[in-house]
Amino acid sequence: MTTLTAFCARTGIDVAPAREALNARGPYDDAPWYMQAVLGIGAWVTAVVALAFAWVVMDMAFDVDEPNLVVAIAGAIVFAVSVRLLHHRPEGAFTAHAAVALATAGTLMVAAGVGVPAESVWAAVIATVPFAAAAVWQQRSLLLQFLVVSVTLILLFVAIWDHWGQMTADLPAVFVPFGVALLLYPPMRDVRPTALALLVVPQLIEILVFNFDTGWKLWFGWPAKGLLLFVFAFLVFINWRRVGDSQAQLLAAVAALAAAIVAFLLPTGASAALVLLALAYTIGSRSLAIIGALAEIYFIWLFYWDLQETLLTKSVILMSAGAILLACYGLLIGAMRERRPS
Amino acid sequence: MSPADPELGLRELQILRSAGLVSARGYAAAVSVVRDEAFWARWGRHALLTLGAGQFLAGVVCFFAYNWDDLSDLAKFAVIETALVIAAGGALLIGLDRAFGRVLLVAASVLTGVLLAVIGQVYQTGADVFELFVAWAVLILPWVFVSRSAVHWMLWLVVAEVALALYASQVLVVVSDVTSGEMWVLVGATIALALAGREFAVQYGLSWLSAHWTRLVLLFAATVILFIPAAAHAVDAGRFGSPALCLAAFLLMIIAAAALYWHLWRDFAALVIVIAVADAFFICIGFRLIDEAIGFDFDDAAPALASLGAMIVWAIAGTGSAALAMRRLRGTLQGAPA
Repeated sequence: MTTLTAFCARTGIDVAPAREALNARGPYDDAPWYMQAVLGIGAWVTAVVALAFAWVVMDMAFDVDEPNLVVAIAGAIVFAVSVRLLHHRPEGAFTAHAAVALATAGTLMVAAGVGVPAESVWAAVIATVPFAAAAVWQQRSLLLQFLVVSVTLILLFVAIWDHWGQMTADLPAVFVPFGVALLLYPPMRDVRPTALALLVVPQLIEILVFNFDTGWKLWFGWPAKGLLLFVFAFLVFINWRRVGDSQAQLLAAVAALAAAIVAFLLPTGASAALVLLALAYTIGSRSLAIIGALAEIYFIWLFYWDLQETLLTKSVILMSAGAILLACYGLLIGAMRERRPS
Repeated sequence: MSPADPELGLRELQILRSAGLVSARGYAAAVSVVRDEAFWARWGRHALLTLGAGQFLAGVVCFFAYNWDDLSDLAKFAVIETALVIAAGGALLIGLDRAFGRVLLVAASVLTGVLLAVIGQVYQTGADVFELFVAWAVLILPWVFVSRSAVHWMLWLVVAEVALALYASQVLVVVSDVTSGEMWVLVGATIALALAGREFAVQYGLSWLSAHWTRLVLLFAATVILFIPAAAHAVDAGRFGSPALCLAAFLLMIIAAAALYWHLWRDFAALVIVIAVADAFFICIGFRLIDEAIGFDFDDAAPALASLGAMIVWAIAGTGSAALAMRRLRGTLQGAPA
């Protein structure tokens, strides 16, 4: 790892203000990802129970049979109170957890309270957008930002599928460039959870939903693959510029081209996973690398079960792809060995 | 880590970005200064090798799956045995000190299992499925020892645990009076033993087993497998049997793991796994207590509101305590080796 002074020396930033900024960090939610995952699952469980509680209150105390504007207003109040609680007592583990869970439940209540009477999922999506914006604006809890943005994204998927009357398999590809842009060129507010939601949640929805339905693909999925591989090429270009000598640049370009060809032959999700892997490499994120690796394994596995091609065609594609990548690996190792004595 | 000259990671970089000291355009370049160049170069090479080898082998599997029915028995054996000899011979030739050599030996171990399956299919040996896995585990054990590869060792453990689970479910549960709960405890306990063996081996200098992920994977598998029957008893669901044993084994695992990874090996990530599973169990206990005391009765307002309200409080108490524990442990264990 690089120390602050070494970093400042290389980037030309003054050490004093940088140290001041690091020391002045407030009640900042900087837990590692696996800790956030545990807390996130706990928050989901609490949010689901809270929703059930709200439903019982509305049904039995106020005789509300299905969600309406009253439910939406109650949800907005729950969200506002929770964010305020989070703002004033961010250090309290119990209050922070309660606030995150209840704010998520409040967002879901608003979505149901607006969407059900209007009989429109789009109305539910539009209703959650201000809450997603508020979750991004508050910087106390990265977990809350991830959960509320995820809720909005899930509703958006449902709305689009409902609007078109069928499931679109390529939809996750649209969100990937935005997620990549937010991580590579971040605004001053910390939007990493939003970026992660844009990169991961659509893929997860696709994985979960298309286990039960084959879905519809625009032009056999080629535009989606093209878009993803364009993002991949951009990431490769960023890294390629940093490589010192021309031989290494050539090797990196060949390896990237091979990986892109391979991904182009496999399902669209494999291209998305390739983008995640390249992004993980570019920004040095181990959590993204794990997610990307798992996604890549899943989509190659899915290709095996895909019924659109014969096993013979699949075997030729997979063996050629594997041979190209192994040849690149051999070239890379050979070049490294050549360079070592000098 | 020195407070005067702290080390920078992605989180610290985001703070500098939020303070306006790093521009949006300069962020990617700043990241390249902060990230561990050697680690990511190694990771890139390994990703390329794994992707290539994985896809090539998947292609081979698809090819033979396509032609399998048309092949004679002799051809089936010839194909698998040739591949096995190539993989094992290649590993010997390239050497096990290189990643590619180790990958080839892992492939040879996988092919051994395929060969055993084909023997069973062709000769209709009538053997139970667990016998295939036992034979597989025994045959590849020497390769596991010589390979000095954590991945290979993990593969062997999976095969051995599947053999044990199948033996327990196909023989012990049917013939003896072994309950399903005892079977789960047996599987969980053997994984816990493997974890103990890993820790012991690392203490005595077996560096190839020291990768942190091996500890986390084994700990996660052992705690989750012991959690399932214990949680089922806690919420009174399923018919696992042997409630006392299931609960005792789970609690013993949690307490022992918490003590060891807190005081002896000081590993925050391992403690997060322990806390997460303990928190899930705590929520299950709460569900049962509230169900027994109030009942989740949705026909009347009072019990419905009371039970759901109590469940919210219980869930907040559980996850809040987990968050508090993790936060304090993180502060205590900061800088401790993983």
